Order: sequence, then structure tokens, then C-alpha cells
Amino acid sequence: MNLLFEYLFGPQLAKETARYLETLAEANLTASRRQTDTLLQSLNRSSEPKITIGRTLWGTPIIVPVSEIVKAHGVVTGATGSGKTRMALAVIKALLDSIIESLIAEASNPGGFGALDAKGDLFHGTLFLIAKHLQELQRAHPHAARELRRRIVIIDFSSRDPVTPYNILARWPGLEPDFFAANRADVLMDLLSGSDKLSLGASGVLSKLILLMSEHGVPITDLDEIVGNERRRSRMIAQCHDRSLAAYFTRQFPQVPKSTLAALLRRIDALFTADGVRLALGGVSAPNFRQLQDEGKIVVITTFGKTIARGVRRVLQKLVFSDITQSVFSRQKPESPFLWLCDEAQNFFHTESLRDNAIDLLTTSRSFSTHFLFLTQDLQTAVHDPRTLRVLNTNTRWCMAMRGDPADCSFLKPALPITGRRPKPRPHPFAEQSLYSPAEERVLVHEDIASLPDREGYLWLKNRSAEAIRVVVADVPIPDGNALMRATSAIRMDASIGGRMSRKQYDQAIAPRDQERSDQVPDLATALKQRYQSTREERGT
Amino acid sequence: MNQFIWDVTLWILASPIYLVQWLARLIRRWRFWRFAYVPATTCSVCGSAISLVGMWRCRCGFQAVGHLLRVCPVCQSLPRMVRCFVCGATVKLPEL
Repeated sequence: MNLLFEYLFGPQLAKETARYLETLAEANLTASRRQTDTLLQSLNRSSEPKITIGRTLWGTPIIVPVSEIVKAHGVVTGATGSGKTRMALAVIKALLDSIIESLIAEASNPGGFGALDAKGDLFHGTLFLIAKHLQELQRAHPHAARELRRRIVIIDFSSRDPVTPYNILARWPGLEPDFFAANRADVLMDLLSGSDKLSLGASGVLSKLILLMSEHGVPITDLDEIVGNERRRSRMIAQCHDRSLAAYFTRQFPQVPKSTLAALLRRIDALFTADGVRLALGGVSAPNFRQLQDEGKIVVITTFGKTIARGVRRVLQKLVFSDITQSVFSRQKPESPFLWLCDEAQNFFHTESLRDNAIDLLTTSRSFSTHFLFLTQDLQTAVHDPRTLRVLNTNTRWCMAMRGDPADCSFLKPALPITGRRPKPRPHPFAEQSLYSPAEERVLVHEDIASLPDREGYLWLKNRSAEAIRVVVADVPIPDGNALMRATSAIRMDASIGGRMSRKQYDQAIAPRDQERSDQVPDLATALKQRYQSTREERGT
Repeated sequence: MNQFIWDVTLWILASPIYLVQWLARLIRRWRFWRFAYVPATTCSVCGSAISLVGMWRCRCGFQAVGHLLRVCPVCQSLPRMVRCFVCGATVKLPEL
């Protein structure tokens, strides 16, 4: 009878046993996947525009509403080449799609976004996506294409033609001159400070010089001339409306030690080594970031260039970030959401004032509908201050950790998905197989972040789930290297797009200012020098 | 001879009882074998399914993969009960 039953039901029973044991082994994993799938389904049910971030390891697409990303601060951490920029480009592509959809439907202001890049990848990738969308729109919806072109603003510090004027001494509308000058001086002194930190006195001198120059619309590129050319300075002081400022330059400025002025000029001069930067900073105007955000523009900024030194690149990046910070709090149309995607964001936490800026933004910019997505390589290493790190982790609603230093994503540790079935290595073949405890496995999964494959990471939507999702980031079809440069060269060189000026227009714009400068009677030494040079040229020596 | 007739008579008289006993044993064994070849049973307290297949450890320490209702090849014992994983109540298993 036993044999008969075994023959009849045995194979089925063996199959059931194997299936049950497999279910037991995968129980935690299955529960985690089921929970993730339920979450993703609920996100997918939303009727608003969505972003495809990627897919899970078991193939479920991760599609989240745009508002989850745009109306919240986010952080993406990861080493170089881990796929941070691709992740940002996936977000940008979805935002562009959403904006274009609104433009075609002629809906109200759909909001905008900005990309602040310090190494070129994000800038060129964004331009490529814009160019592609423009090309497609031009054929089907010329009106929407025109509107999209109007919305694009390109700030490229490396470009000599076309030029984006970025006069850092051009006052923001409706701002107190003293506040502007003090702020600009603080920012410049903070950013330019190196090992030989400049004195408080130098900061005061710079503040007064900025106040004087900004009143006359003189760019920072003329600083050495204002300091060195007494006649020009006197003329500016004579036309100055601020009596206390005039008094300072008449009485106190001549007493400033020459070494202080020399140190100050040396620091500022370091900014102008690249032509593109000198042209941009020497422009007559500056981008009004408040207006750009209110109008829902698409702002693409790069501080990268072959001729721009690393230090200058960083200073420009921080300067732009500082301007963005100021602009956020003066927004007048907070109903239009704006997302800033900031690559190499670790640079925004180097100095104390930058950290304060970042904390301000993270804690209060939500009220002004401006949000930030920070892409950073080494967060923990860059942010030494634990309070700033805590504020950053507390105020970001979503984060993504890609391959990198596990210490940089320690905030993700409690949310890492674990299986409870990870086997411990066996010391010898006869030892009983044992498993890691959940706490031990969490530590191991956290350490495994250092060896994640490219374009894979953990996405944690903090307001939706207590558990992060392992994600394979969606591939945005963008060429690499020189092919990308070639693909974007047309849009980069087109002065009619991005609110830029051709070199000719730029020269025409600054001509009246230069004319005014040349009208001034040179002092005796300069006149003699000019006469000497012209005589030498005439004699052909 | 008389003894033989007496035994047959007694057996005939007792045969209904034997029949009942045999039937009862048959039903018990049928229940046991039936139980021994189903992959799961139901908890009488909470109603959730209790798997009867999996990996089991006998009180003698022998571990086996398969059905719960198998005689241990080491100590020859049979399990008498199974615990529900959901409510913790024990369910008595049929005996052979």
C-alpha cells in the first residue's frame, strides 16, 4: 500500500516540497518585491505626467509622477561614471516632455528647470535633448517649437561667440545697493580665499569698490583700472550719489596699504584668465534668475571650459549658486514650480557661507516652489559639518545612491532592502550552513554600494516607503564624447537661441561704455606712455 | 472436532465485530495515508494553511526534506502534532 501511494502521490509531493521550501527561502524577498510593486502601481495610477526613472531588478518599470521629483529636494550620490548624470538626464527628458506637452496644449505656465553643470556632461546632454525635441517639434508643432526656443536660456562661460553677459556687478532689480555690495564682496572674498586668506580690511575695500562700480555699471573686469587709474576713479567719485561712499574714497581709500590692494587685484585677476569668462563678466547685464524662475524658463549653465582653470570653474559655479540662492527668496510667482539640477554639488558645501546658503535653500525654498536636485560624488567627505549633513538628509524627500563610498550614503542604511537569506561563508564543507542576521546583512548590503554596477543604485522615496528600491536607471539615448559635442555644436553656436549675444552684438552693447572710458583724459604718465608707443610704431621700430 | 466447530461458530458470531474493527482500522489508515500525501492542512483555530511539506527535524536530531508524516529512519518515531505558524496553535495529526 505504501508503495502504491508513493507511486501515485510521491512525485507530486516532492514537487510541492521543493516549491514550499523555495517559497520559504524567498519569503522576505518576495514580500519586499510585492510591497515595491504595490508602491509602484499606486504611483503609476496617478493621472499627472510621469518620469520613467528605470526598472527594478525583476523588471517592473519605475514610473513616478513628475511632482514627486520636481516638487521636492533630492540627492543623487555616486562616484564618477556611476550614472548620476544619466539619472539627471532621465529627469530632464521627462521634464522636457511634460513642458512640451503643456506648450502643445497651450496650457498655463508648466514650470521650468535649470541645470547647473561644472564638468560639461549635463550641459551637453541637456542641449542634445533640447535640440532633439526642437527638431521634432519644428515639424509637427512649429508654434510650440517657437515657444520652447523662447524659454531656453544658455549660460556658457567658456564660449567666446556667442557670449552670455554675466556682469556680477549688475544690481538685481529692487535691491538695496549696500546689501548688494556687501553680499557680492562677501561672496567673492569667501570664494577667492585660499591659503593666504585676505584680511577683513581687504573685504571692506572690495565692498566699497563694488558699491562704486555697480553704481556706474562698471564690470568687475575693470577693477584693476579703477584701483590703478586715479583720474577715472576721481571722475566716478565726482558723479557718485552716495556721499559717504565719496567721502570714503576721498579720505580713507588713499590710506589703504598697496599690498592689500595688490593681493585683492591678484585674486580677482585670476578669474579672467579665460577669454569666455572675461567676456561674460565684462558684459553689461546679468541673468535675472528670479525672473527666469518665475517665467518657467529652461536654464542651462556650464562653468566648464578647456581654458577655464579648475579653481575658476569652482568659483563661477559657487557664484552662480549664490545668485540662485538670492533669487529664490525674491520670487514673485511661487505657483510656478522650478527644479534646479546641480551637478558636482559637493562644491556648494565647501565654505561656511555656502553651507548656510544651502541650509537656507533646503529649509525654506519649498515655500517659493523652487527645489533642488543635488548630484554629488562625495557628500560625507564634502560636508564636514554634521548639522548641514543632517539638514540635507532631513529635507530631501527622495534620494538615490549609486556606486560610491558607502560612507556617503549612510543615511540610506536603515532603508536598504534585505533578504534575510544571505549565507555566511562556510569554514569547511562539513560545517552547517548559517545565514547572516538582518543587521549583519544590512551592513554588507551597505558596503556593497561600493561595487554596484554602472547605472544601478538604490532609490528611496522617503514619503512613500520605508524601504529603498534597487533600480537600473533608464537609458537615455545620448551619444558620448566627441559625437555629443558635434551633435550639440549647432545649438551652442546659435546666438539666436538661449538669450545670448553674438560677439558682434556684444561688442556693440559694450561700445558705449568703452567709449565713455576712452573719452576720459588720460593722466600724465598714461599720456606719455601712449605718445611713446605711437611714436615707436610710426618709426617702425 | 467439537473444538473446531466451536471455534468456527465463535468466529462466525464474532465476525461482525471483526468486520467493524477492520473497517475502523481501514478508515483510520485511509485517513492517515490520505493525510500523509496532502501538502497542507488547515489550522482548526485560525483557519490558515499549515504546510505539511518542507524541512523537518525529528526530536532525535535527524533532519529530512519531504512530508511531515514519515517515520524517522533513526528513532522510528512518527510526529504527533504540527504547529500553526500563524496563530501558534497545535493541530493533532492522525495516528496509524
